Amino acid sequence: MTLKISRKRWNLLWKIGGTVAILVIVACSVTINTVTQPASVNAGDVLNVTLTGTISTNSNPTANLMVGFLVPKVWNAAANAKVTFTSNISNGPQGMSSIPTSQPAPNGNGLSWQTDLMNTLGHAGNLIPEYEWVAFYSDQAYPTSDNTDYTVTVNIQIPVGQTNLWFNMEYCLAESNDGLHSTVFSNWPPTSYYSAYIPSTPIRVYGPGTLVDFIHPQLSVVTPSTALDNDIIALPFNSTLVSNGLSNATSVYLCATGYTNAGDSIQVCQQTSKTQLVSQGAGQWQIDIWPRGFFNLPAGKTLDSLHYFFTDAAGGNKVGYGGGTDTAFTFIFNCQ
Amino acid sequence: MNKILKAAMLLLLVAACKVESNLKVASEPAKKITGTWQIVDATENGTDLLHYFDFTKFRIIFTDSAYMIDSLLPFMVAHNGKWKVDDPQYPFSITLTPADSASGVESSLSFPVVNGLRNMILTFSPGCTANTYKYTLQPVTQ
Repeated sequence: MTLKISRKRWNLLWKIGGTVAILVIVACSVTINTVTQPASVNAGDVLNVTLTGTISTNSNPTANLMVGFLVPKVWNAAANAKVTFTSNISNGPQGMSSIPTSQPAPNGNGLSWQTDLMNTLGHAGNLIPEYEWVAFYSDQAYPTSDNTDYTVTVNIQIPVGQTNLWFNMEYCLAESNDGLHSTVFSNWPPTSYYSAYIPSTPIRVYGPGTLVDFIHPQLSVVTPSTALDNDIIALPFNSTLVSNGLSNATSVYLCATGYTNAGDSIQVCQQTSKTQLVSQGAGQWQIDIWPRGFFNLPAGKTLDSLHYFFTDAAGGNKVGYGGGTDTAFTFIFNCQ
Repeated sequence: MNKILKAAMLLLLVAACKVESNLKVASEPAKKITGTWQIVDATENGTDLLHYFDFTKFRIIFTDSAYMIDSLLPFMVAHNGKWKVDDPQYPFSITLTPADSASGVESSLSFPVVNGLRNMILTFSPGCTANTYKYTLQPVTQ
């Protein structure tokens, strides 16, 4: 049997086949090779990070480089960070700019890069929900050749502000064609199209005030970590973390002292509905307070700090820092 | 009979083609701000506050140019005073100026209708500027 195909049909087949081939092969695999990040930095200084990566093309796409990193919100890194890179196809440092949250990520189902990074990569085990992904695009798109390896060295400079903290950083390298969910090659996992990296050592920022420790589970961490007495602050209590006098309590109350700018203090330590924490189940409790209202602070005075314990309904069992009864949890009101 | 019918139809046609001089261009009514409003939703930095904090007693009463706050919470202002919007028909911001202050506090303002009820959404920072609060208010109906 002889199969005869007309020239017209051959032309059509070639066009279809060529289009499919182009659709299939426009893809890159991305790898972060190294991340050089200091173990610590002093408050007010700039965190300098160097990231090297390789982008291997499977055709000749023209694309923007995307660099994302997970940071504490208080750094406001989208506005304050400076990101540049060098590569083997460009001369000198290349500029990068923060990607607006209104701009959808490629193959991101309408999500922004920032939300897509959070949903896809998570938050690197940080325990206090005051982190965010920020994302930067190269200012230019770069034409490439097929089946070629390109090397990039990214320099990230982030002013770390004044907050005393301990945080797990995470980095992501990707490009503007594939995003985080490309399915161009059916036999490639989506993780081939981007690369994520968590340094083995968390970053420690040495600053004044209460340590905001994102790394280690704690009995109580106030959020937002930067707040004044006219904010609403959340005081959670993880009663199961260490054995303490309230590990099996059926109700928990706040016993707090506010220290004012005038040098005096105001204590609220009754076991009433005003001070009762709300159960979240599994030994987790929380109370939200507006400090000015909670302490009935007179006009003209402000609160400098808050010292607090948790008690049972009778007030006899008291738990403070580390699960003990002597040292209070502390929070310093500031915006840094 | 046929002629009468034709004449009647012609008359109808002429009447139908009469230029309507009473048509008016529809105009957007001014948004009604006056009245008593309560908080029905509140977030801080995108986190829900309603579950852990009692907003039920808060009221703000807008009259023609003044406002009064009952059961104060973290809010744009802490004292009663005057209010104004940037545009009564298409307001995008509201400014509250306490009686004891020369300067006002401005908030972005939106007026979506949800389930037939007019909502007023205010966004502001009463403490650290990095902490953003979004309150959704609805008119008190009783």
